[in-house]
Formats: sequence, structure tokens, C-alpha cells
Amino acid sequence: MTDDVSNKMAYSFYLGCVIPNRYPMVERATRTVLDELGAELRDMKGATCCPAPGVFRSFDIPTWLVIGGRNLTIAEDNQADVVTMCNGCYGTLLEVEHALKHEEKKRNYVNEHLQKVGRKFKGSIHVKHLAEVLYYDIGLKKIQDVAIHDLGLKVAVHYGCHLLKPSAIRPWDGESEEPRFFDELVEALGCESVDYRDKMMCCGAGGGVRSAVKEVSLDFTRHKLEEIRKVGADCIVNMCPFCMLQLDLGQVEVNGVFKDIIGEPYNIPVFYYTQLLGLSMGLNPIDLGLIKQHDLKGVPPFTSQEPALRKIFKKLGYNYDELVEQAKNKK
Amino acid sequence: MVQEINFDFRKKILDKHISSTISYCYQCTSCTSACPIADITDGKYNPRKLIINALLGLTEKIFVDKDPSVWDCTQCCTCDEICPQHVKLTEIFAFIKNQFAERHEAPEGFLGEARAVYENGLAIPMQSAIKRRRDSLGLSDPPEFDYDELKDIMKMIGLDKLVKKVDKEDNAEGEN
Repeated sequence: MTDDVSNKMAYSFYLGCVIPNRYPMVERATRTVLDELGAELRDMKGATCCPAPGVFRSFDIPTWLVIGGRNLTIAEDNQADVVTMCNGCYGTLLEVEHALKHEEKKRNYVNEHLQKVGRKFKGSIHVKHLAEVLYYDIGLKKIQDVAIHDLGLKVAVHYGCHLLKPSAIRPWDGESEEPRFFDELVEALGCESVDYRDKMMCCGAGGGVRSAVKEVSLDFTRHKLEEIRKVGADCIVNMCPFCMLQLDLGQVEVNGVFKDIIGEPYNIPVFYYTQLLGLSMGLNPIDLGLIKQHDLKGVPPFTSQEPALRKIFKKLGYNYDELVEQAKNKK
Repeated sequence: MVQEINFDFRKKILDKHISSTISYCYQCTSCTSACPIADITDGKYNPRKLIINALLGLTEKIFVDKDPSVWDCTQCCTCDEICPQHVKLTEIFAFIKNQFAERHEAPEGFLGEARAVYENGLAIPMQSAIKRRRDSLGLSDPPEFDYDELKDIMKMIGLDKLVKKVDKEDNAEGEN
């Protein structure tokens, strides 16, 4: 240990629901990568659902504000800004933070309720998306330095909506139509970020539409997949577990619901950014949660990542089948 | 056909604490032309129409005919970004959905997820296979939380009343 501990970046690590309870491999990869990059993650003891910006905010805005505010007080106790891996959690927590910091009426309303459970939102912390932490706090330059292996993939980047919009309270200089930061992060891994039609379009899951109007939701996903297939991408890379669920599990659903109009079934691997960043940094694929356990049913990824992984592993000199064996024995 | 105007709803919509920006809408259709749902549903979903229905207090169109249905909105905020009058459309749509919930008329999928948060504090609960996958990845359980504290808060605000099951007959009189 050197004495640069004081300079260490510390964050309140907000897990949300989807990653820990559906995509734990993304949590594994993110923890491994951020640890390697020298960021300290403080657990948010007592944190609940953010609550979801689509379903829950649509249901009752006052409760959404108070529960969101309650989660923020936990980060205040931690004395560290929030980092979240989810666009939805980011949407809720950042927008609640903004409302509570700028609208006295809402702050008073929320604190009136929080006071009864011994909490108070003071306004001492800020909510960040993991993309912001990687791009600004750690910095694109550092990412380029640590990403020593070129992965050589053709990547379709999916930003997702709440990472960018409403742009007035996002850190991307008001850019929501042609942002570049995510593409730059992907290019840092020696990948090509391919352009495709309707790249900025919603995955289709948001707003609770996945729960309420499934066929509309899947039609979005079908359209995105069609455009991504047209440009011959090896995989999709995103930074939101709900988009990931929609593009991964939704891909299987699209193959069923739209089987008569899609031609060949879709089979496009979907990755979370830190999984690929970890590979490029030379970290072990098993430690990045990339080797699927086939004996566990109902565990993602539902669309196999194998084709893209085999391509990467060939380049990096790993043996895919050996790693599968190793992962089996590790249990 | 003559549409009745619900002045009470109109007042609520125009109320400053929700969003006064709606009154600046001049129906230019930028929102609809940019809306991915309008595109994918061939115009069946139409944010411009929703805004004018809300602005005029045409609650029958909004809540009964659902023409267009606010539940098609994915809250992608594309309309918010493009609106030349800075109308906060997504916020208005969320408010309209809240009104549906108050009438106990939210779609079952929404109600189910709101109940999940009310009953578990999580929209998506843990599953045993995922728990095993976490173990194999060397991940400990997510941090615990005091569910009673959360439930107290939700009861204080009245969420318990919103998530309970209501028979359709009990609810029929609310229509105008």
C-alpha cells in the first residue's frame, strides 16, 4: 500500500434490482474492473429498488420521490457519490436528486416523510452513471492505457435512453442525438463501433411497456436487431441491465413472436461494457462472469455470447472449452 | 360527437407543480414525428394527440377510449428533447398514468410491479438459480434493507390503497 489511498476514488455502489438478481455476471465484471482501476466501492446498506422510472414513477410520483430520496440518504451516510450500472436507476436517482436540490417544495415533502424514519436528504452527494465514472473520473485516456488487448470486434453500441435524456441534467454537454463517448470507450478496446440505422432508438422495454404492451415492446427490439444484423455486427454492447434483458431475453422472444417475418432467427451476443473492458485489460474471463454455467437453468445470458467470445479468445490465446471446464470445477 | 370537458382534470394538468409548460404547446407535431412508438405503431400512438386531450380536459379520450393510449409510452424522452416549446411531455404522461392508478385502472403488468415493490421492496426479486450463480461468481448477497422502514414510508404516502385489488363494479361510478 502506498499513501495514495487518500486520492482513491470512492463511490456508493448502487446495485438496483436487475443486475444483482438477474445479471450477477455484470456485477462481477464491474467490481473486478473497478477494483483493478483503483476505485473503492462502498455498499449501500439498506438500499431498495430505486424505484423504477417507468413502472413505479408511472404508478405514483410522490412515492417514487420519497423512496428515491431515501436511497440517496444512504449514499450521504456513506459520504460518497453514487455510481449505478443501470440507466433506469440512473434516471430515477439523478432526477430525484435534481428535483430535491432545486425544488424546495419537493424537498420539504420528501424530508417530511423521511424525518419520520429518522432520515433527511441534505443534498451532499451526486449521482453518476458508470459510463460517466469511466469516461470522466477514471478518464478515457486511462481506459485506453489499461485496455492492452485489441478485441477486434465489430460492435453495435446501444446507449439506451436514460443515459442521455433529459440531456439538460446529464453530463454529456446536452448531446443526445449524436453522442460519441460510448463509441470512444468501445474503440479504446480495439473494436470498431459500427453505425446503424436508429442507433439511438429505445430498446423497447422502458416506461413499463415491456410489462404492459409486450408486443409493441418486442416490435422495437425486432427493429433494432434487424438494423444491427444488416451492418454485420459481431455483438451488441450496452451499459444498462434492463436494455440488456430486452436485447438478450427479448431476442429469444422476438425469434418466437415474429418468426414468420424475421427470416433467420437472431443470434447476436449482447455484452455489458465492463465485461469487454475486463477482457481487454487481460483479466480472466471466469472472473468477469463470461463463462456460462449450462447446468443452471433460467440464468442469463439467454442469447449465447459464445460466437463473439470464441472470436476474442482466439485473438487473446484462451481456449474456450478449457475455460468452460475450469469454471465447472471452480464451483 | 361532442366531448365533455373535465375542468377538474384540466386544472390539475395546468397546475404549476405538475408542469406549466404544457400550455405553450402549439401542436406542431415535432413530438409525434420524432416518437419511435408513433413510428412503430403506424401513428396509432400519438403524443401530440395526448397533449391536446390533456390540455383540453378530454378525459373520456384519455381514460376510456384510450385513443391514443398513454401506456404505449416507453418514456424514452425523445419528445422532450425535440419539443421547440420545452414542454415536458414525459412528465405529463407519467402524471396521466398516475391518474389511471388512482382510478385503479392501471394495466395489470404495472400493478403487479408496483405491488412487488410494495411487498418486497424490489421490482425484481432474487431467484434460487441466480443465487447459485452469484455464489459461483464469488459474490455475496446484495446488502440487506429494513423492509418495515420502507413499508412505513409507503403506507404514509398511501401506496397501500393504490396497490390493493379493486372490483370493477366498485369503481364504475367514477366515470363522467
